[in-house]
Amino acid sequence: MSARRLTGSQFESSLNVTPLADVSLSLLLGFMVITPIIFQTLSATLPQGSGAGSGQIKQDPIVQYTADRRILLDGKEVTREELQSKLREYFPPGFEGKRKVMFSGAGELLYDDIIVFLDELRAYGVETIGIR
Amino acid sequence: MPDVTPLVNVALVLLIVFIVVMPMIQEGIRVDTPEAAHLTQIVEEGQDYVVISYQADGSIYLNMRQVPLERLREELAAEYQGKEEQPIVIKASRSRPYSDILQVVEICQNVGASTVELMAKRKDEGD
Repeated sequence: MSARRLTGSQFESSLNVTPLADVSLSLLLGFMVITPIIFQTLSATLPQGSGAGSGQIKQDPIVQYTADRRILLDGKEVTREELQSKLREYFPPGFEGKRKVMFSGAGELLYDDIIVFLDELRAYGVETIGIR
Repeated sequence: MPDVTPLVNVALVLLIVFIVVMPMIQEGIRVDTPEAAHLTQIVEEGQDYVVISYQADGSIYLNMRQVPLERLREELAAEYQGKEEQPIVIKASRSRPYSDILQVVEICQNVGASTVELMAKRKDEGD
């Protein structure tokens, strides 16, 4: 509180709001600087260069999701349950960090269906999904 | 002593406006993205990611600017220059055909991106 002398014994008191201004301006600046933007995503890698020419890409199992919602693993039709167990065979324990599949989806499907399917692949333990 | 009350008023109003508006700024272009449970979080802290938004009506935005599909490659190449190590974030509507998204993915690949981040809403495991 500060007081200003007027005349004689009369005083006018006012609240010292400078510290409040300091705090609120600092908060404002803090918010502006530190607020990060967070994206929640499913990552997908894209083959580079000549694509299929890379030996690594050839070794990765290829999962296809057809327009009539059939699942093909390396060209062979599988059910969802079979896909899970086959992927487990592809990626035995110790394969952490190398569980990659190449995915190809039918353009006729909705993007929503594709994301649901890619989400399932992640649930089956696939760490990296390549789109072709 | 100067009267700082108006300054405090302005600062506090700015603070409140910022707190309210920040989630909208973060969201950027509003898109009804698909839901998924196994998402990873990427945090933008000064990297300034390139975001392509694909709305249900077919309009495409490069960051906050609307771009026709025919010009996307050119505009993206200019925007992505110098950011080749970064992924491109694709925020597409769940109701678009996958072929449309593949077109955008192909354009990303052509400008040199090695990874795309497909944005989705987090779905609870119980859903």
